[in-house]
Amino acid sequence: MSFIQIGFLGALAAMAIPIVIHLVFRQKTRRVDLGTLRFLRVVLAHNARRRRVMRWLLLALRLACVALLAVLFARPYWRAFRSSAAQQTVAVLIDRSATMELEQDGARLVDRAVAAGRELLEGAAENTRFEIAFFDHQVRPLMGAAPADDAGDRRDASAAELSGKLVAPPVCRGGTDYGAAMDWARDVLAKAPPGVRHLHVFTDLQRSGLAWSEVDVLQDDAVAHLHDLGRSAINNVAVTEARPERVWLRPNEQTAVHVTVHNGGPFSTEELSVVLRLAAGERKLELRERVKIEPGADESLRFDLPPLAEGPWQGKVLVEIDDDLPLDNERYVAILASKPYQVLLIDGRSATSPWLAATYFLDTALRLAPPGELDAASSFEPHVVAANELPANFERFDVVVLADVGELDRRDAARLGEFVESGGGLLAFGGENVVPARTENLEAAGLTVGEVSGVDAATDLPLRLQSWDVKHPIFAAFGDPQLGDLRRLTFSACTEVVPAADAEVLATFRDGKPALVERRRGNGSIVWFTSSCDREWSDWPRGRLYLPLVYQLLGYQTGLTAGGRVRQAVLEGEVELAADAQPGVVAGEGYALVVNTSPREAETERCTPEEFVNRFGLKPADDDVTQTAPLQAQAALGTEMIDGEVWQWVAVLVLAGLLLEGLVANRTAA
Amino acid sequence: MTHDQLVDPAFFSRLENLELRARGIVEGFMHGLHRSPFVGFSVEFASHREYAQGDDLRHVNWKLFARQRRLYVKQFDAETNMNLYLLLDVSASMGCRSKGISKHEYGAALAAALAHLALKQHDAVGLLLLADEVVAHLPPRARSHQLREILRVIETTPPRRTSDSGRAFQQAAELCNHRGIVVILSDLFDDLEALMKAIERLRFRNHEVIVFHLWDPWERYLPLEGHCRFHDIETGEVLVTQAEGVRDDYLAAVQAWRDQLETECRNRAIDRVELTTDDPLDQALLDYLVRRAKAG
Repeated sequence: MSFIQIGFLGALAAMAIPIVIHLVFRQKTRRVDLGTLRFLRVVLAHNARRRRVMRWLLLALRLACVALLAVLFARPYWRAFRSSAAQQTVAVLIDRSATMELEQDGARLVDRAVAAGRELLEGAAENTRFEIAFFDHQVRPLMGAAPADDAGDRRDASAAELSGKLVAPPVCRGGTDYGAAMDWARDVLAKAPPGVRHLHVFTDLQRSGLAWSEVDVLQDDAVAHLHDLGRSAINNVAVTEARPERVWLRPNEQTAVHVTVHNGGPFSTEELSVVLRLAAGERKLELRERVKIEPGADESLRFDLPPLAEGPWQGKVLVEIDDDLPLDNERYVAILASKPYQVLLIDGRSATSPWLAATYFLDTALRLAPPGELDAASSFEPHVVAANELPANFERFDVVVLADVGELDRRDAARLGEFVESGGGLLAFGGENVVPARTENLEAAGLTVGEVSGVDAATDLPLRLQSWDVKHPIFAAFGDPQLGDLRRLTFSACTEVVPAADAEVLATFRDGKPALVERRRGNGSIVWFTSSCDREWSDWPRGRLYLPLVYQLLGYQTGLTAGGRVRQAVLEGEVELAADAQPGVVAGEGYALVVNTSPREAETERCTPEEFVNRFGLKPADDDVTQTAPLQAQAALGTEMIDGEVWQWVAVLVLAGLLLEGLVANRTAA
Repeated sequence: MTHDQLVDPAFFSRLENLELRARGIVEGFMHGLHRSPFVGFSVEFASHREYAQGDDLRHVNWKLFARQRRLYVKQFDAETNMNLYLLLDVSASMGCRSKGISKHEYGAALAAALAHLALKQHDAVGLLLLADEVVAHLPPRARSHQLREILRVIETTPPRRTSDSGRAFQQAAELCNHRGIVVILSDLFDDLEALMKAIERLRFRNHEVIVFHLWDPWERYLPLEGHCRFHDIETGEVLVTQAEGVRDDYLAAVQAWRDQLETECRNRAIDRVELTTDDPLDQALLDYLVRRAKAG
């Protein structure tokens, strides 16, 4: 234990006071004449030993009270805390958003930030612990690669080790989310051991990064150091939007691309050339527009495309200008000219009249047009076949639907299984044909979601959907009951299925029987709806929920509910992307992902350090004493507490001692 | 002068003349008796009888006449002459004084008052001053100037340094020849066994014994705070201690002694009346009268 104000320990000399008082008052006793001392004599003789002990105890208490008072004013603190107080935790945030690609004095801002970070590491005191992270729209801690000790716990990397790892990213393309970065810093500093805490932020103070998300303020004792690396004047022209009217259209259909160009520079652009380049294999398409944009203004353009031949048209919109930030001079575009999702409807109950076929309502719902025609807006193109007339291969189909199909040829079932294995979707509806005796081949090919045990017919009350997984994409559209309450659907019977161990029940009927079950197989998925898709067991095909539910079921199996065949993503955190995602068109499984930089990065306007500090409730370094020694000196003046001070406990001891002294004194004769 | 004033020790301690004190105390006491159940002191009320010609009109019960419209006169027991022996402790311990009046002064005033009261009833009053022996002795007399003699002896006899109550009471027992009431005014700070033996001798001589056990408040309650240097007035012994620290044990020891004393007195049919020097004196006189009535 040490003391902040050691001078007060001189007051320990005051311990002599109780002794002096005792001696002085012993001489100044009051004279009392009594007729006899016989009673006193008896009392004093009887309690002599106890009184002696109490007297010494009283003296000890009084001395202890005086000593504790001296210690109290000397402000003791634990040395262990002192040493930890000397230890500093420094959180370092380095901005690696797209605007940090800007150059100043021949070096990128991010390179300058990394250099400054290294300087910080090299100049750090011995007991300094560092936590470093790059951030854009994501936080990427440098310590993620820190080695572990034998016990498996992460150990703190040395400054030299960190300095070696601190390398600027080759390209910065992300958006700026200061809120996420501050959250990380707050968490890191909260977990830091007791001691002084610093936060260093190396950034260009881009204003658009301020208001992304709400954050909690940093710890009170954390001192922030803001390193402004930004440039004051930036000449930047950016394509902030390139949006096709339709990203998925039929072959030879036309569409248009809407483009917005922003001039963030101080000068107007004369005859700025904006180019749209698309290519589908060998076929290329280039459209060009010229535009004049005033400083700080946006200009919108429309590129009307000619009829596009079938194929994935990919390319970008770019502005032909040489500015300070070339990254945002282009935005990627992808348009798919292809047929809709091909859906094979296998009818297990072919009838002479189409009305009586099991697939009639499915076909009608997917087609969205009179029989024989296909609505251009429909995402699905159904093909109806009987269960005994299956096509030679299923490769050209995206999803196969079994409507009341029980008996299927063993080879067909095996081929269908391979189709699912390779990533195809299978949607099966129940019916009178789906009984154990007929579904052996389906089970053998692994096309069921469990054991089919028969038909469960409702007796007094119809079957109703009772519960479903509201988070599943199939039911996302029914989250709001006003959009359709699935509980209103009634069924007179359902196929009884005992789900397999690896199957997931997505919805159940009122009595707990599975209504919708999913089972993954290979790259594909099998979904069973245990009631019929026609009017055999229900009147639901005539209800308004039939079409959306069927679309959701097929949308899930085709990937439509996940975004369709052309999906958009922006490097600003709203869509989860790989950490190393780059702008461009990325091929996914059955879709193309268009990744672009955040349009907010084109807004190069900067905020002031004060705005930044106020936005996140930081305690700037200039207003605070960051070094241990001055802190201690200030503490010695009585204006600031340091960690590990225990005067409160000493005060409690003093009070307890005084109380005890009073009690003992009242019961002690001299 | 009110009754309360007359029996208040603080008041009569300011009266320097002992005779004046005695008269004042008795007058005050008698003044108070008018409202007490004791309707007389020299003669005791016995019964009523119908008025007959020649009866003293002073004895007519006019209140009864007012209620019943018939005249009744009060009948009284005949007066009897008693011997009252006042045994006053004049040892040094009686000099303890905490509230303006010492036990000796209190005892002297009480003795004088009792003497005055008894003489007014035509009883014979004697006085013995005791310390380590009988210091002074005045045989009982019922003559009119006996009170003055008693007061003179009390006033002129200085307190003795030492005490030996046993021996003194033994001597006193020898001097109390005639049956009567023996009133002991003492703090009884002595060997209890010897004391009781001596008092027993008085009982053996068929005396009614009343012990007015005198306390100074300091001795009785030890109402003191802080460091005190306690002096034994008789022996000169000194004890230094913190009063509040020993008070509880002190009071327990006093109580134990009082209990023992009370038991001993009760066993010997001795009335013991405890008085502290701040107690009113009428209680003491009342006790005496009750005892005298029983003896008479």
